[in-house]
Amino acid sequence: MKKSRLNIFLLMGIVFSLILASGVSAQAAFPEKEITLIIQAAPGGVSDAVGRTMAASAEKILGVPIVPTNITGAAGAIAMGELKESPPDGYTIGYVPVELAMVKALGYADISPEDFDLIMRVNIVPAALTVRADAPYQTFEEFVEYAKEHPGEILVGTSGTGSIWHIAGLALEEVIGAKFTYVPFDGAAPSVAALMGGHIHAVTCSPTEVLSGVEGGDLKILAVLGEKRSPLFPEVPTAQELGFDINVMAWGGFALPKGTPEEVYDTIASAFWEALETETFQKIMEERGIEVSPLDGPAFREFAMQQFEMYMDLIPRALEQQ
Amino acid sequence: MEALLVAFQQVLQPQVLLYLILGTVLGLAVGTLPGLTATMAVAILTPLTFWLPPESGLGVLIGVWNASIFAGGISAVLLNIPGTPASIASTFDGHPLVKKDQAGLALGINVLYSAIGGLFGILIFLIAAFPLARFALSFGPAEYFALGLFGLSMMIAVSGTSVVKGLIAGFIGLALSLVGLDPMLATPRFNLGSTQLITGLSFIPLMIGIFGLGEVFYQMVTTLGQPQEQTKPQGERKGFSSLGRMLVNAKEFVQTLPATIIGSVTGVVIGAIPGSGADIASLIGWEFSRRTSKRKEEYGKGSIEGLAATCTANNSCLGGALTTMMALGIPGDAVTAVLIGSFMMYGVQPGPAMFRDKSDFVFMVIGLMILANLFFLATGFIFSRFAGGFILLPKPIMWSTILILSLVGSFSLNNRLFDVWVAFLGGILGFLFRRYQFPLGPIILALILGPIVERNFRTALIISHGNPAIFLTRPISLIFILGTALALASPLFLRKKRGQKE
Amino acid sequence: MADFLFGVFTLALGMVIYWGANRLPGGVLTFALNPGFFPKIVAVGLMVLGAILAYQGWKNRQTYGEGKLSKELRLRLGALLGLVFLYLILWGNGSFLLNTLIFLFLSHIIMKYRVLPSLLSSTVITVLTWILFTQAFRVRLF
Repeated sequence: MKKSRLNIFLLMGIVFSLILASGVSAQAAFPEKEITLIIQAAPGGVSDAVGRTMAASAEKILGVPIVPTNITGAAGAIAMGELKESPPDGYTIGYVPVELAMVKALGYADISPEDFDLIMRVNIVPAALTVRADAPYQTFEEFVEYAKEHPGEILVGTSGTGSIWHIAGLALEEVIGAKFTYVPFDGAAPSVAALMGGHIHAVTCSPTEVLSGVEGGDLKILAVLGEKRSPLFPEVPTAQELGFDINVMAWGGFALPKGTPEEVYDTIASAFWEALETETFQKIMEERGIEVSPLDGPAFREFAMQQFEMYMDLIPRALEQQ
Repeated sequence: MEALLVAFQQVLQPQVLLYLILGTVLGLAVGTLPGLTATMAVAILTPLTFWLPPESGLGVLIGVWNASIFAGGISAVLLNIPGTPASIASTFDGHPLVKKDQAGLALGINVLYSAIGGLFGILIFLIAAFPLARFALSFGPAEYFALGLFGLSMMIAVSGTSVVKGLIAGFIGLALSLVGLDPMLATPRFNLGSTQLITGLSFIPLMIGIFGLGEVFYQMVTTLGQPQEQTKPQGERKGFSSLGRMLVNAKEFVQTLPATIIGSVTGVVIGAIPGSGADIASLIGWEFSRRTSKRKEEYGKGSIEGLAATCTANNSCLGGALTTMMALGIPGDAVTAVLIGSFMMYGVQPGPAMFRDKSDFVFMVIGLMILANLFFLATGFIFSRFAGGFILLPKPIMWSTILILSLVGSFSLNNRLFDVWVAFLGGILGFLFRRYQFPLGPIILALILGPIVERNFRTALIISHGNPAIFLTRPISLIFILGTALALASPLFLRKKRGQKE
Repeated sequence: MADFLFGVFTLALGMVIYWGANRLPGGVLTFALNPGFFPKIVAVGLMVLGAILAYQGWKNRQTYGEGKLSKELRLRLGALLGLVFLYLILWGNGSFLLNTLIFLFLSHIIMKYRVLPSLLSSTVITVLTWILFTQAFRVRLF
């Protein structure tokens, strides 16, 4: 029996140090108990960073703990489905990514922006065309030229068929009138690795994901495929500046289940805005290379619906083409 | 050498050491408990460490990372339940050693060789970061496919008595891994129309079920079925000392030397290859050392060489993963993918530029890695001894604890009840497999490597525009394919030889 | 006999997978094979292996684990599986602490442990698990 007591003692020690590390918070008025924040991606990525940072900043304003909960699977459809089904009392908030506008078109789940009361858009992640530094094309125009002359030869790595960066490639293909061969990888990082290893010719993912490779001199960004230049690479032009009408970006924001009472919505929305404007939030976003581009609820709603309609049209065509 | 001194100057401060110890202690808990993984712990701690100075914050994270990979081996050895996926291969030889009444030695090997592997990985990082990272990049889809295929050929080696049953277990694993999106075209496959299954069965809950729950069900049935007197094997009746000696002796050290070297090198290389982590490293390390060992037949039955190879491989993998992450900014495995985020929070962008502009940061990380290894080396023996006490608890307490940790653990991973059901079904499968003597190794191999093989086979064919010669014209790929062919052919030769003898 | 049944089951599983793979839409992608290709290989493998095992099992009817399980053991195993099943069905209803306490207490009893120590041990395990997951890892249980 002595041994088991020792064991329990030891376990207690571990547990208490864990508690110390996690910290405890206090209580206040409207939100009278802790709030759950559903994040649709695994810990470690951009969605998780935005979600957790917002939770940490907003819980100080709301006065109740906001507990981030990562629910992964089906490109976020599981998490968004869970949010949709949650009681609309303000105690369950969700991070919603660009996939909010995509999962229906992909056939994963029946979810659209209309199923939610959108709180705000927080960040955008523009797509960018990146190639190897030793490629035969050094500018976007040269790339377009080359792609037209060599249909099907350029291997473009994507983060998976039907993913946002695959859509970016397809949109680019359409707008410059060329034909690529797509190589789907399991996420953006492996596709960048394959590009650096010389196994493929280009990737259409975010500037953040290729930052190290570009700084190290292995890779070169030819153009940003979003609406404005990336703060990380202010010298790289957008495709729009070069006369190609293309605008593909990932984005993320927060949402509540449909039918949340107005005063609850207002309390949360104003707290999140306040949190967004804090110095710590801005600083963490900047360090992580996340581009903050906020929209308020109604504007976000309009934006999301417009994206939804675009993908409902684009994705079925894209999947068919494959 | 001078650089190392600078590194130690930065990290040898009382505050940093304190945080590193805290991290190590957390890592021991996370690693030992099934259901909590290193990736998850590092990810959850990352935002909490933002408020600390970099050396302290990273001290916690690196402490957790190193200690948890090592500590996963403790439960693998003692309970036949891998604490983290990285220690799956440690169950092959670790648990049979416990059954042979050498629990202490098995635990001791886990501590010592994990540290040896870990330190070797860092050494390689120090002397050859860039060449190694460049080599890792040469791994394209063809190479991944060949590596995966080579790994799958291990099914035969881990099949035990019946190769047919081993292969069936393996193919059932492959069948389970089919559920989910087609890796190329994102067509849903075998999801039975369910959104929950659209991205497939989660690997870790399945693993927890097969190993954790299955083991509990099986042990209950076998232990309660025996007459009371025999329920306790010799070792378990004695007190703490019953674990036996923990340190390897000189003879054993010499005997395991080749396995140690093979394990370390394999681990660091596989760690460096983006997208393959400690689980694959320890499996392949085990197979490499088995192929070259003079005592092949002991592998899987409690070979100290086999255990040494897996323990060194999964810890040297960390150095390799860190190499690719820091030298190129590409994550070498899941944990380094999270660590990139924490580096960036401290205003450091991993990549070649970091070695140029922030070399002190690089050396600080190296210093922390070395210290983390030394810390768990120092505390690991004591901790293992205490953990060893767990199996001396009355059986029902032990089983119930594993039961609830497995269930809550599989939930906490993705916060999905569905995953707990997956674990439960895995548990029933695990029970049936154990009872009817189907080996568990192949099913796990198939679950880890099956998707890699399919994805990369097809990706390679896209890249080669449909020409299958890509698998044979690339040297690394060719070597692995020849290795696979050898593995498949050797049982035939062996049988012939045996036949001649008879 | 068990081997024979497992063989037949594996054979059947292979057939089901083959049938399922055949119904998958064929890819239009030129080089990368279609989604059914790999599943078909797995299915064929299962069918062949299943047939071999069934044959072997038919030839030498082996029994495992020192014969059949006694009636008592089958009852205990069934009770434990049923208990886990019930615990998962009730997951999210009631309180985690209470559900888990009852679950663990009953599991101790099924595993043939004395009542009083069972109560003690299940209380300790429940509380520690709860603290570990909700407080330290901030997992939202119920």
